Amino acid sequence: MEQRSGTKQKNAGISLIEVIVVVLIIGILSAGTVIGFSFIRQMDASSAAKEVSSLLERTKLNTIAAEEGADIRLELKKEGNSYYGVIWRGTTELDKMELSGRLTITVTEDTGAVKTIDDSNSCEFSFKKSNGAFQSTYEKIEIAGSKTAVIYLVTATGRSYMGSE
Amino acid sequence: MKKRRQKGRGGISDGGFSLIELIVTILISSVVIASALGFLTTGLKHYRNVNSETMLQMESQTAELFITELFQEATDFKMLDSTIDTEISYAVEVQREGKAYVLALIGDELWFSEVTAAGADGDKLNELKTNGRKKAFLAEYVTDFQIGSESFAKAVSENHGLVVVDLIFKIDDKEYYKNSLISLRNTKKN
Repeated sequence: MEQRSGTKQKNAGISLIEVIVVVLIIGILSAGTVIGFSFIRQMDASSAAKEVSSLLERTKLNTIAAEEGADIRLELKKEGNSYYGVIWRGTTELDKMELSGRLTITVTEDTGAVKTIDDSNSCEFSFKKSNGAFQSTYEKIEIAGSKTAVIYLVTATGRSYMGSE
Repeated sequence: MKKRRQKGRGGISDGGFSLIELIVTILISSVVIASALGFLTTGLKHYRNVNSETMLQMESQTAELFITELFQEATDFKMLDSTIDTEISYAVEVQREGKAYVLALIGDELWFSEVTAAGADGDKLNELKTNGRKKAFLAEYVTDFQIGSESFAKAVSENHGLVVVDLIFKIDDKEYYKNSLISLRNTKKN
């Protein structure tokens, strides 16, 4: 009489092939998870850079739209263990965004001087209302996480862009 | 044997799945997944569409603002001969407050930089290129850039102190056409 494996015999056991297949699948899934996880951790610097870029754009638009002398600026600062980007209008906080991830942010001025932002050192960016050019004179912002992202600031035109060169 | 048949024909018994069941399952799930994927691609395309629309808008507006302010306060401007350099397709020199600036279309980017006032046209263009993107980048996605009056004198005499600036921005197949009429504020100072 023929008997198929696993039919009539209850709790008879699991065949070798089944074990192998299960182990394989678990292995593939866990490898995928690990890769995905490390991928996400690498995103912290570039996503923070994107956040800072959009904060810069918003500060610029706010400056252009506001009245003369509105004193709108973007402040990058560190409070405790996190970095924050704050858009100010005079002494009022318009917006405050936390930059997620374990980061170190350094700012390079047009003169070449490099400044690291920490608890006692913050950095302010501002624009000219007339044409959107930078009023502050910084050359680039470097955000170092597990990777390093750079935002280049073109002082004469008020443009900022990310990446290499 | 009889006991097994009672459990139903071709149904799921402890024994496993029959081939037919497998095939039917695969067919149905492939249909479901295909429709889900279709939905996904449409969504992505729509997002990219909206994104490029927004980027075009922002890019063109900031560039227009910058160039308008530049020409409004100009005390003199003239077209530069861009045939000297193959990368530059259009270049204008603008003077204000005693300083000289070059605004040029290089590839699909607009560059702007201060240059040494005394110098040949070619030198000024070279200076712009040496400054590079880091110091001169103004706008991207620009496919065309034109000034209506090629010189300050012409703008004053023919167009009564007005300059026309044409810009065309393009991402993928979306085009933005920006046409500005700028009145020169320094026309009296000729």
